[in-house]
Amino acid sequence: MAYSFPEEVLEHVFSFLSSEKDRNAVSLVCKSWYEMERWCRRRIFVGNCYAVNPKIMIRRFPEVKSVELKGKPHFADFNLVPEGWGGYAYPWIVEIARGYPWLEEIRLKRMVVTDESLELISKSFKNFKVLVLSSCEGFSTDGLAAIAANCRNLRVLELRECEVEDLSGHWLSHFPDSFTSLESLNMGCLNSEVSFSALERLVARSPNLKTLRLNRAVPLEKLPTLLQLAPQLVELGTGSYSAEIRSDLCSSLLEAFSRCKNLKGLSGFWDVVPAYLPAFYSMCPRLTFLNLSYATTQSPDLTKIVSQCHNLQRLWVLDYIEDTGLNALSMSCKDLQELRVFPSDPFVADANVLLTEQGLVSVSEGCPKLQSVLYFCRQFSNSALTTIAKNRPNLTTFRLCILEPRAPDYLTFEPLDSGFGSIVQHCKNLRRLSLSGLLTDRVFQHIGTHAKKLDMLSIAFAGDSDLGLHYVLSGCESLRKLEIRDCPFGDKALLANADKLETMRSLWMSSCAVSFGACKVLGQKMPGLNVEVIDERENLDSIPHNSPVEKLYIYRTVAGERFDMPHFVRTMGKDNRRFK
Amino acid sequence: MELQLALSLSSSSSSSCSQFDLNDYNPETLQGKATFGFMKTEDLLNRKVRVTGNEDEKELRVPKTLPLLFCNNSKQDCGDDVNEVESTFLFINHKNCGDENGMIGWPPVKSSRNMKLCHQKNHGGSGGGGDGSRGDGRSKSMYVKVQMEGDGIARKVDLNLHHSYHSLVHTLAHMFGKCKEDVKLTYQDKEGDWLLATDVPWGLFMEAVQRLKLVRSSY
Repeated sequence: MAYSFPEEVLEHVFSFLSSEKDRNAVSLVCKSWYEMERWCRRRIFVGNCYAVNPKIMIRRFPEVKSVELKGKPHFADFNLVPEGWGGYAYPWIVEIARGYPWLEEIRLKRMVVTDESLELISKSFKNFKVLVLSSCEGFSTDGLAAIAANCRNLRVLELRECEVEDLSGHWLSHFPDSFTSLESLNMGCLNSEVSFSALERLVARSPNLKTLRLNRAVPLEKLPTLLQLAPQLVELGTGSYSAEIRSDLCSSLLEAFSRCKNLKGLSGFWDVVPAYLPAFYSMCPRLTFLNLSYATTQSPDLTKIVSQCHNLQRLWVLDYIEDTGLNALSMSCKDLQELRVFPSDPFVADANVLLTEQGLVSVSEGCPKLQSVLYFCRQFSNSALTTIAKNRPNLTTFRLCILEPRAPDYLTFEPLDSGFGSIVQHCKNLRRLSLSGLLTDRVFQHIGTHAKKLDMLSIAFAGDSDLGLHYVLSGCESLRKLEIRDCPFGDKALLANADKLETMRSLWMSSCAVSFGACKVLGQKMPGLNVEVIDERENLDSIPHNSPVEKLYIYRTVAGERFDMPHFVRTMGKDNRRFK
Repeated sequence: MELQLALSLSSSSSSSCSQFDLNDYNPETLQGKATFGFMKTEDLLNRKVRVTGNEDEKELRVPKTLPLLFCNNSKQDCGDDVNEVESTFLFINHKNCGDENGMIGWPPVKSSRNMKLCHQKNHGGSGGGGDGSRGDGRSKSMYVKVQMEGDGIARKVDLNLHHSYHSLVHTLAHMFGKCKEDVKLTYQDKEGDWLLATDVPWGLFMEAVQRLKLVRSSY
């Protein structure tokens, strides 16, 4: 008996599915569901732009409204991926322009985006609404001018930590006077001064503007003017937070801030002059997000601020906050979910601030909803890690960076294996983990045994032998992203777990002990993987097969090997005559 | 600690791999002898690096095109055998062409963040406009040559990335694979004289320094 819902009903049901995982599962049920689903999928996320090619995507999903792509591996953020490696947006934009004329949203992360790409975007999509570029590079303010000039229905333009060739601030003036749909503008990473009157007029004619992140070139004196024009703001990134101390500026700032009843998130605060901090104290109880990670102000000021933020959910701050400030945080901010503490002086071996493991322990004790941690500090102990684990079994992200590589437990001088072991044992929903400090293979045994939900793992200067890598690859069932630097992991573990690599998005290994020969073997035997060796040394062909490669990036793909590589990147084991 | 594994792909893998038995793959049987450095855990804790060299007794110079392994025979004990495995530590010293820090990308903080912070500290919180220049962050580099005593290869270091002797010596020691306790920093000033760096305040040093040399401090 054939029984099925009419197509319209199925389509209606599927329209409630927003998660990709759900949609992927639905499409596997049967042919008709696959067909139905592919016609009504509206958002696509491609975590590795080389895992698939745009033609395949467009063929399968013909009516997409939003595309999100990621390019370079995460370690590119720390200059480990040489310039020219790849991640070019243009080939994708060309195909998408052809295939999705009604596309509304493009989000790109760690990709090389040219002005040409931006111009193409601005002219190809009549209903284009959202452009978010995170950690991208390769474009100039000319490309931004094209977006401003041509995207009549633009709602969101966000540049997050991009490297932009800043020719001038004139691009902002290209938004036509008839353009009133702006909801979110983030230009925080740009250096050039934009015309303030153009900015003022843009804000004035954007009644739906909810997010405004200024760049450092916007002086503090101008902030009250902007705030008066946009009291409906929900997220604000200040420009430079510095000026000569004038009482009239103090009071106008205070007044302007107090008018913004909806303001929930604050960031910016470059060049902070502490005298102006009290201007936003009245906002503190309403804040849910506060990014003070550029505010080079000392602990007493920071403590005063956080103590008033009773509804704070996410805090990003420099280690100037010190243990005392974090203690205050733990007592005042019971809704805290995410904490990121950045180092003020990362290259100095000796502590310049009184921030130790104790700060994080306090927060773990006092903040019952704490889920996500990024913490840079100079000392840690197994007992502190165990305390944190027991206090907060609900942790989902735990990224600890002890600044000195291979630093042992500062109390016992032992490796930190048992401490991190406690973390994975108690925090059963841990999805992301970054390790640091002195670690032996034992920590990886713990991770392989307990971290069953772990999705992303970052390892540096850790482990003794291939056994460490083997524990991780064979034990972590949910692992999708693994990035490793400076660890003694070699061929054995990698080859023994070759199958595992096809279940993951990618594996990065640099300054490890994987040989050219093993890479070649892996590439030959696993057609579903691209095994890229990234090695900038001269005379590569004369290096023996059993010598270690500099860097290795392995990812699964249905697009085959790529052909846009520079000379120092080779896909191993394919029919590659350049390197035998 | 030995790796006790059946080194083969699972039988449920794709058919093209089913014949493949990794037990046949053994790095030691490939041509050439690997020259790895081994480190003991205790030595690591004491921040000492002791490597066993190969049969060639003379100190190896490390030209740019050599593989990553760092061989230094100066501390070799007579009885050591390259194949003797006291611990299973393996350390690859990562060479970075022309990079000022011995360790790229550590600590893992985005360079844009470092630059913005650096900018604020150097310019002492002056308000108003950015520098209007290219947004790649590097406001000014101050590269000087640095040599390790006894090592023919000179490196370069960007002094503007450092604010104290601590961070500079730490970086340089790492660059040359030494412990910072084992080295002293000397510099050549504008008159051509070689002086001990830590004798003068950091500011004066920064104004006068032309080149750097690390010497062994075991005298």
